[in-house]
Amino acid sequence: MQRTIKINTGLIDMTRKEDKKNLYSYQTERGERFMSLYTAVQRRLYHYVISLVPDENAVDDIIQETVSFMWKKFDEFEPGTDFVAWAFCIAKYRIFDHIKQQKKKKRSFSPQTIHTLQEVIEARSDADEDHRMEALRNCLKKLSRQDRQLLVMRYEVDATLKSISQRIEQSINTIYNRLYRIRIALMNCVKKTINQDTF
Amino acid sequence: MNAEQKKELYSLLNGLCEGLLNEQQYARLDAILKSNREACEIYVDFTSMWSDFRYFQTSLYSLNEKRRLNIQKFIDSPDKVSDSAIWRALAIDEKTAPTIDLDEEKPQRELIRKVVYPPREKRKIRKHGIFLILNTAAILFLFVFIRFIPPKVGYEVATLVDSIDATWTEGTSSIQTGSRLVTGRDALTLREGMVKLLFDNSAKVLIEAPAEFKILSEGHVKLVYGRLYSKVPPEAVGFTVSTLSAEIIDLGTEFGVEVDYSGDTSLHVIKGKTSLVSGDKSKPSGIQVNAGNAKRISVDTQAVSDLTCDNERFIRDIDSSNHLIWRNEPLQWNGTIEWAAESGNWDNGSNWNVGIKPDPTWSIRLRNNSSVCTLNTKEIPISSKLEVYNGQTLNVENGGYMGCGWSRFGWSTVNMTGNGTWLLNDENLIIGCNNKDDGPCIWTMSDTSKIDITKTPDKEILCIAEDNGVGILRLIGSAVTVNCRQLQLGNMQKPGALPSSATLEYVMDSDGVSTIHVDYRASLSQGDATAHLVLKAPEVLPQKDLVLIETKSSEKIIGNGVFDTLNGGSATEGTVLSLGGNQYTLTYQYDANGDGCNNDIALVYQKETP
Repeated sequence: MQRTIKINTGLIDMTRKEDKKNLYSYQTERGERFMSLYTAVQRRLYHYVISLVPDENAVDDIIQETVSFMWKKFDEFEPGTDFVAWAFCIAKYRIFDHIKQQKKKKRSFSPQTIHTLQEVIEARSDADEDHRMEALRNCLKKLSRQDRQLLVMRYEVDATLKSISQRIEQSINTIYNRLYRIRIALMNCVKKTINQDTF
Repeated sequence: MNAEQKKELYSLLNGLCEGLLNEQQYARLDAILKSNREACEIYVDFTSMWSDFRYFQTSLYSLNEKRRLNIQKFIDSPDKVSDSAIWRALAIDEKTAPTIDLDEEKPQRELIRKVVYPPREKRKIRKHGIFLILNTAAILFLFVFIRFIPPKVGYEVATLVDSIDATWTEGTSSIQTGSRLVTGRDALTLREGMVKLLFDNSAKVLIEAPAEFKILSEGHVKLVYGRLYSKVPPEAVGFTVSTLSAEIIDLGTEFGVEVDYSGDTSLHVIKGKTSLVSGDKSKPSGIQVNAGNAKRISVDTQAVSDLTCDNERFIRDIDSSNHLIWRNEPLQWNGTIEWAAESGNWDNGSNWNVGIKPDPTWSIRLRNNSSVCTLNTKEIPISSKLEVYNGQTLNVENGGYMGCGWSRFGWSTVNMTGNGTWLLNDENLIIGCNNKDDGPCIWTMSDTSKIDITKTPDKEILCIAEDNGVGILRLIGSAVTVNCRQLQLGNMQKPGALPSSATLEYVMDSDGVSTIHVDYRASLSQGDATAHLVLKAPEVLPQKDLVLIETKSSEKIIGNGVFDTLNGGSATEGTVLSLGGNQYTLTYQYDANGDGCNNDIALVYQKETP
């Protein structure tokens, strides 16, 4: 099958040095501005997307499309306004598109749920999120090495439940349940830490 | 929420993040979240953790360590689950495996450059998975395998899909765009220009002259000398380029290979990774070369040395219809740039709202009421679109050169003087559109100014007035050039819209008139639109026939086929007109170039008027 790569820019003579120089000096500066804003919000953006589309396979695509669109429309972003809100707004449409496509598979949330979740996420501030991350770091330290090991395998090494179970000769169910307990423990710990800090 | 409900929620969340919920469970989760705000809060806390684990794991696990987590540290746990060696094996195994996945399944996060992400090729990759786990031994095996299997000769395996100024040596001169290339023992020699080959396995190869190469198989090219750039999609992984001193095996990538006259080979890997096999033929050795790296392999000593990867050394793509040569990634459309000054030069970046002048990545708008933009420099051709309206004036002066795609002019004034040039590129120029309520577009050309096309697909249309528009094209003198593929005067309006109105005005001089040359077809007043002809002669005109519009093909004039008015009066075939000291009749059936088609519009000289 022939794969075509679309060149949508039409006429650029990249052999002309001058053209290229002009183009790139501008692109670089624009790129740097964009990247500095984006890196500050990317954690929240991922959180937003995975909350509304809790499917790891889809998140990357949605983020990819969102960032690509943000870059394209970057000139329409007004400096000084809320970049997170802008990013969420752009992601939202990508998410809706995705949900529309997924409807048949019946693995997506209802509009009402999506709406409430959006409210909850948007109500949280950067500071809340940073606080939460810090709490999570501390809670991780409290886990047994064994449990941390399992999380590392699951997330950093990206092992599947199946491959972990084969290698350590435990059933998938055992690992699944153990991860479940670790997650609950962490959730409780984070909550407790935040509540302590608040009062 | 009570403990029981929470437990149910947690259980569902755990399944969710492992991707294990079935439809009923999903629906149950949705029902819980829908009815309970607290559940939503818990859910969002949970996804926050999930997202941090999944996407920002390094920062999490490194804890207090600055460096990325060293898995070994977790292995010597006293309460180990199982044998530490197994853990380590798992870690190493899994650490290498997913990086392969990443390469083909997740498009790189190239924010700036990617235009269209290729579709995922998951299934296909699996099929060729063997190439992805090549270790050195396997590469060597492949190398030996390739070397000792004699190529089959005479099979069609690739197509020449595009070329620019390509000249081949004698005997192969019949190769042209569309030609199928066959495997063979004889080398092909490209003396000049560049060609793009598409192999049947979807590998794309650009070759730049001077070059000599052999096609050994669908997945194997031998480069004797010259420069070659290959883009290898996942389904063609394993694509191999051999030279005298090395063999480069693709592992899903883009790379350039150059063999210079000394016979040394250079490899520049632009994306993905390759395996480079070099060394003594009886004792080859392989290394992996990743994106951003370059190597040189000496033909004499077989020694491999490092080079700086040169991103622009190779032509990566060509597009002959647009005379485009890419030595870098195609760029992306950037948005719209607007003229911001009261008056000033196009070339001056400070006159534009983003502080730089437009380049081909922008769409352009000139729409500042009563402001004036002057173009007297040769500008990078515009690829996107240009819109001019709201009373803007654009002066294209001597030295001004605009290469333009889609351009539309509403209420505006354009003056082309000197040798000012407007180049239509594969698109339409519309003079007067959507401006019934504002004002017309008045486009005046004088001196040796020029509207031109460079090539001849069907698209280039010079349209005067469409969709409610009012457009006036005024040609002053006899030295103006207007060449187009199609000329439309008064285009069909959109249903329900007011009809458009086109005026073509010639101000003739003692040498005659500036003839409009139409390659394909002219149309006059389509539907309810009107087309008006205005002829003026401030000087005495020559005593000869004056051709207004010459159509080079045999196509008849379409639409109403005649102007609605000539200088306000009748404009039918044979209308008599006194102008510049002479008397003429108007005809739509003139034969200007002796082609016998009788579809040109002209004034036929009758006699001198006293």
